[in-house]
Amino acid sequence: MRPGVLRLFGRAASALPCVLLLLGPVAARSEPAIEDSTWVDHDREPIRRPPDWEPNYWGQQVRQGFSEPLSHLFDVPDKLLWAARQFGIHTRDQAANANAFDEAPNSAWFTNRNHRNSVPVSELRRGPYPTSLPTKPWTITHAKQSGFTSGFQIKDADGKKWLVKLDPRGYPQLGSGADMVARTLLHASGYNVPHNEPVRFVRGDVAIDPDRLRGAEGEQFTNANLESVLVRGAVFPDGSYSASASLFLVGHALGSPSMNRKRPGDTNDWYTPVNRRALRGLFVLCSWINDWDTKDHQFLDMFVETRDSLGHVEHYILDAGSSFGAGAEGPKPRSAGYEYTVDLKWIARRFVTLGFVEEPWRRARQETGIPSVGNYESAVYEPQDFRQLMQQPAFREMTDRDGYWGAKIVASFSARQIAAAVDAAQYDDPRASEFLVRNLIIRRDKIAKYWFARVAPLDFFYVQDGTLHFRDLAVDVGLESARAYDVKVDGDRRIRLSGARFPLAAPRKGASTRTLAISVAGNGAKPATVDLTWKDSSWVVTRVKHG
Amino acid sequence: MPLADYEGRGVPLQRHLTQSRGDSIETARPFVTIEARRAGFRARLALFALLACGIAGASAAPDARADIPFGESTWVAPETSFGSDVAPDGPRVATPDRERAWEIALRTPFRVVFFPLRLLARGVEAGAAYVGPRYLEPKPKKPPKRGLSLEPSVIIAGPSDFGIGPAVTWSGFPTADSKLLLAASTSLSDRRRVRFLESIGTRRPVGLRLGVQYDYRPDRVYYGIGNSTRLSDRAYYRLETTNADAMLLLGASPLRQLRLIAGYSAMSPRRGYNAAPLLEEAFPASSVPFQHQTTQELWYGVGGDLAVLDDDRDPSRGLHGRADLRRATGMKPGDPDYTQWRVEGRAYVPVFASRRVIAVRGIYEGIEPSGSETTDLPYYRLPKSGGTETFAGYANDRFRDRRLALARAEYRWAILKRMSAVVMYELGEVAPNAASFRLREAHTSYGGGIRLGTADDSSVRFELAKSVEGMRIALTLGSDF
Repeated sequence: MRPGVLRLFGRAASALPCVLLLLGPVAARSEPAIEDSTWVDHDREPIRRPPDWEPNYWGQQVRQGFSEPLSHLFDVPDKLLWAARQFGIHTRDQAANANAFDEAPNSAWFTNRNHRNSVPVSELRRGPYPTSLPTKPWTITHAKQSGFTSGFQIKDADGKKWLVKLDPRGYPQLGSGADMVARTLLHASGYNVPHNEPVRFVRGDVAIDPDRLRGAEGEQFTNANLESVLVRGAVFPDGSYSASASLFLVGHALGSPSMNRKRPGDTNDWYTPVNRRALRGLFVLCSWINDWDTKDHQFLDMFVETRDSLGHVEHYILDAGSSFGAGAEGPKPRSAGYEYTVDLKWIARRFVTLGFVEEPWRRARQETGIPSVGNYESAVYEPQDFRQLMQQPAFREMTDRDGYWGAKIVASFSARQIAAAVDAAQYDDPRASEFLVRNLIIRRDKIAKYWFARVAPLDFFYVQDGTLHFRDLAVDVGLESARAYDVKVDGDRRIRLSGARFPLAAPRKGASTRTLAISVAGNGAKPATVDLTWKDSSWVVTRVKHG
Repeated sequence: MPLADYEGRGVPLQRHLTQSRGDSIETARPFVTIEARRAGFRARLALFALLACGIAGASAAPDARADIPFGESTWVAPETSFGSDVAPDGPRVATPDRERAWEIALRTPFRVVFFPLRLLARGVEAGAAYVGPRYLEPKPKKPPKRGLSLEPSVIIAGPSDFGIGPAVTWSGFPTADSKLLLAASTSLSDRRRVRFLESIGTRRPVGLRLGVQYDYRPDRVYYGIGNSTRLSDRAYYRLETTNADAMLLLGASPLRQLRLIAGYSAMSPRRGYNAAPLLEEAFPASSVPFQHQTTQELWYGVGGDLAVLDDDRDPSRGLHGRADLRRATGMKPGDPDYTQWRVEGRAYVPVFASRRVIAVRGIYEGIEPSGSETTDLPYYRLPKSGGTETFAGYANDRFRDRRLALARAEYRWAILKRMSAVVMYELGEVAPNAASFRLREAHTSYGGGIRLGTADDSSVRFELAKSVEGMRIALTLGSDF
């Protein structure tokens, strides 16, 4: 062999340990263990930054507005599976990442909060983040690149970057208030949300970056452009503009996720979003706050660097401004929240009835007459009939267990907490706060009533002193008075309980597990199933399944 | 609003609260912390011990917290503790998700069968992905583009009449609110069109429109003159048309406008091609007035629209009238002088709600020779059932004569925003004079379709209409009804 080649091999061999050291975190990583009883799904393993990618907005609009509904209309397997479900056969795919206790473990998508450990009222009133407003004066650095609300990107006096979105003309605090309340509730529920604050500013607080005035890098934003933006913005009686300021998230924006696929290059992303408990159950929360514009592009994936250019992806619900009665250009369209943009069922109903069918949104008295609230109501609202603008794939896959989980989160909010979340928006009009609190409570109770009638709301099982304890959420929240329960032990014996506790006898020889199916006596809701295992001379709850 | 107000609120809120939701402000957790601040070091030590016991006790004795029901502001779930575990390393809750094997087996055959449709859907989505950011995305309003621009001009006038060519637009010539358009196209059937249009002050109280159109078509259809012509008598001819007109518009909206018009029209019929049988072969010359005779006319007239509608694009209530009157003078010996008129009335009546409308439309059109040159009129200048006067269940240009009457009633109901389903019934008839109309001889059509309102004076209609001559499917872009 030639000396030169030998030297090359030698150099490569000596470099190999260094290469392995650099690749250490990746090359040496072994597959994580699978433990279905974990409360933390460890999806923050340091990885290299995935490539930027997001589904095309307009392509997704066509797909979820037309292609998917038409495809499902003619989907023969779907019809066969539906027919099988009528005979009691379980065909729906349950959420892939629910743990053994039928909960969504903490992850980069979701953190268990209010329904496990009530968020203090003072925290709700403040909002998800410590109050920090963009310090003035502001410098406009870019026009707002997309979306229907008018606004611009700024750098505040402290150098922080914010996106400012104006409330629509004539409706101060409509969008900014809705966004604040929605985000506060979503964060308390467990979702990651950006730091948004309702803000007020006057024309004199804003200047345009000289580069933008000049048109540097092919992008120009002039005073005329600014005037055309401001003229569409809402103005308070004192002449200041009403807007929402959103602090740029920490990290590198990878783009919006697609509900139908895992993020390319993200090796931590094990579960397709449509199969995630937190995203399926989000339907219930969206119906509560009437977030009628939920789509892939309302989410944002951020790569957060932790060390040595490695990091992980955090998933945010970016935009909740189209909630309650708010729309981009004023109060939301009356049909929003009740019908898809192309709702084949309602089109067919209207067609067949020659237009004489009355849609729920026509019956509903949505016009509140409160400019900062818009079109919102709860009298006609039915939790199961909530519809966004576009069909959300994750919502279509929702099962009763997912819906119950979402309803449990909604029901966990007390009236004081709801009032505190509404207070975070700092509405000038006292009618707005009172109206929103009242209707959020009504919707909360409707949601709880509906889902707790489908799945027995028996939860939070634990064993103490040889007795299985649980909570009846419907009784706790005041929807039901104290009631009896039926327990089926190991599919065999049936026992009637007068309270939410079941004494457990020591196991027979050779039997170390027990399965209890607990239902509400005289109630058709699906039972809760609890698996118990005998460990260290006592029973331990090892698995819970709702419905 | 102060939170305390919700503790003892009146009926509207209390109705939705129960005893178990009436939690108090002071709770167990913050109480300990408040006490520690007050008492100083000893209390802090006691607090530490208390918390240490509390933590130990919490896992062993969740019943203390169990007294606080779910849904209270101080609720803490028993048993489970996952603390502040944010370590990157650790277990995953489940293996990566995959489609279930039996579901793959069930769906695969259908995926194969419907693959072409899926491919089509993906193609449409890709098209939307291309078009959307460029043309549909809301952008900051920029001043209108001025100067010359070149675009393709596409004309679709029938299943076999598809034309393409260049179109030059000059915005801002000669004045800031003007627009010049020059477009030419040719089609597979050798139809040639050239159009010049200069619009000045469109959508202003006073506007001017100048236009020149050239239209050459070798396969125009002719069934004869009269109400009883036979479908089997179809024949073809060639017609070359040159029109020039000037229009003074008084009124910004096309629905509320007076028009003073003058123009020139030259029409030259010849032997057709690209179709059979030809007019000369199917009809004797005596039955086709001005069979191969070119006529040149100078004309002037007045027209107008007056509409009182609740919504210009999708009216549900109101009236709309339109009238046009023209006087034409032949330019050379033998060319006829005539008077031509068209009157149209529309009415819209809601059926208990604006989303359900009965729309009625009536048209009366006529032409009458005047002067002493001739009492004959060229067959190609007679009113005919085509364009905006199409009889729904019949072919284009099916009937022609000196008078045309058309009445349509339709019921529209909204199925989507700006989109309505339509059922309609129509009567149409042609006659040599007004006294010759006979209701029992009117041609009836009935059917239905979809209407999409696109602009003040324009809509897209897809219609299926039935008549004694069969079923007709029509897609009309730019229909004004």
